[in-house]
Amino acid sequence: MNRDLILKLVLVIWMSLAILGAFLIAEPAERFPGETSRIMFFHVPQAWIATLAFFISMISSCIFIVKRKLKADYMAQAAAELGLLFSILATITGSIFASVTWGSFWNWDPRETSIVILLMIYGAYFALRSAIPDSNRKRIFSAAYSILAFLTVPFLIFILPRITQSLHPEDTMNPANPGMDSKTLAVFLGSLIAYTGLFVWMLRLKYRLLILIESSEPAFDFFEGEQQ
Amino acid sequence: MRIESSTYLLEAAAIWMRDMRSEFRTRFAINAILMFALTTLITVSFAIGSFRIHVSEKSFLYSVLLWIILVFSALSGLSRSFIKEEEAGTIDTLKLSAKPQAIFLGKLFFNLTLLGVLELLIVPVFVILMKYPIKLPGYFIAIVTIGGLSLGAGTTIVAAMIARASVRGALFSVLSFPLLLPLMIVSIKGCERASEGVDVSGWPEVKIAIAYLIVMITASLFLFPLVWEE
Amino acid sequence: MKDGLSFVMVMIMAVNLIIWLGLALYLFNIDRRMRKLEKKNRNQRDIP
Repeated sequence: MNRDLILKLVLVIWMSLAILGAFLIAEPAERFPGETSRIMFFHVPQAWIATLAFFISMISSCIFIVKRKLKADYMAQAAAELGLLFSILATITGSIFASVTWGSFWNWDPRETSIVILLMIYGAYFALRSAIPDSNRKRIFSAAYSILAFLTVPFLIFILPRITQSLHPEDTMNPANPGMDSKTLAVFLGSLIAYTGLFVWMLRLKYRLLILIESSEPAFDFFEGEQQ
Repeated sequence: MRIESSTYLLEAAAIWMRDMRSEFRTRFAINAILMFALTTLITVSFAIGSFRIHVSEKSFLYSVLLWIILVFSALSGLSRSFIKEEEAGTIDTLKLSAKPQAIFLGKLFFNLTLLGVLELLIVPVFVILMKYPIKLPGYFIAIVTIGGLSLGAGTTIVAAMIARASVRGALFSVLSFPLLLPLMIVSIKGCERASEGVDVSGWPEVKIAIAYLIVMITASLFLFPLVWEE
Repeated sequence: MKDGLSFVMVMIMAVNLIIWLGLALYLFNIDRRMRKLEKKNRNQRDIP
């Protein structure tokens, strides 16, 4: 527990440093007007975490279907909630960036479209969960849906870039070819690590919360529509 | 798990035929679907009129409209296949009568039949009514056909999931839409290209649609038994 | 932008920091409350 506490304190300091660094250390990219590129230090990690959460949720769903361990469903649900949160954040920050840089809030370029699709998948996932009262069925169905949704993603990745022109600053953000100078890269990676740490912390909190709820209100799965 | 395909198909065909017979008597689902499609079609046609849209814009806009009509009509009616079982109380008997994969296939065939009727009626009427210019009819027909098949493939398992839920109609649409998005994008693009007469060597959109069809059916065949046995 | 940050940018940075530190405090709070409940659960299970 002490080690956990230390790690969390380190995270708090790290993220604070990332925020400071984004404004004080790194210099804004030249191709973008003024200081707008600074938002990339926050927007890209958010989008990255949103997709990471999706993967975790999907894999947990697979584990749940195969092994029927309740904890896997808790992890799937927790990851989906956080994925939703970070998707919303990514959409908002992306939209702010787009309106300042290109003059319009929304352009349906492939990246923007894919984050909206991710939002819709999460929305559908939670709509499904809340519409089924019986907890056993709810878990299995939402796990199945999560897998189906995941299967459509490769199609989207394949299709979307061919369909629309992209306004997205592809070459700057492509990690294989940074195009960032070392200071910017350092702050960017620092922010990425900080966001990942934040995600892990919140994920574990949600997961523990779900376990706590279970232990205090044991599930009665005999009868349909009963508690929990 | 040995799959005896001949028994599966026979059972699936039996379920399909039974659904067809009961649908023929009451015609609930096909009425809902056709009414929705016709109403939307008439509204669109009336609102746009014959000469409002410049010919150069037509191919793009009409592809979108056609698929909006098809997808939303499908979403309004395809959930009937399982909801009707739920309402009639025949779920348990159905569970005993056939293997889950056969039940899925039977329901899938039924949904595909409904969609086939829908497309056979609506697509020609749409093309004629809206004066939809199609330069590559073969490609167009291919996209519409495969797209229709994939539409059924993607939605049947969702219909099974929502059959017992509370807000069935809305939930069906909400759940199906994200799954159908790649299909819609590809189909709209394919129809647009067929309409413009752009080079479609290799039939890219059709191939993607076929891949989607295969993936959806396979995944549904794996996941349906879980959903069915709850 | 070597001539230093504009006032607006410094404000945005400050707001960001405040939001983050507030969030961190909130998370620590939840963490602590959950740990208490978990400990209570564990004790209840041990002592029949």
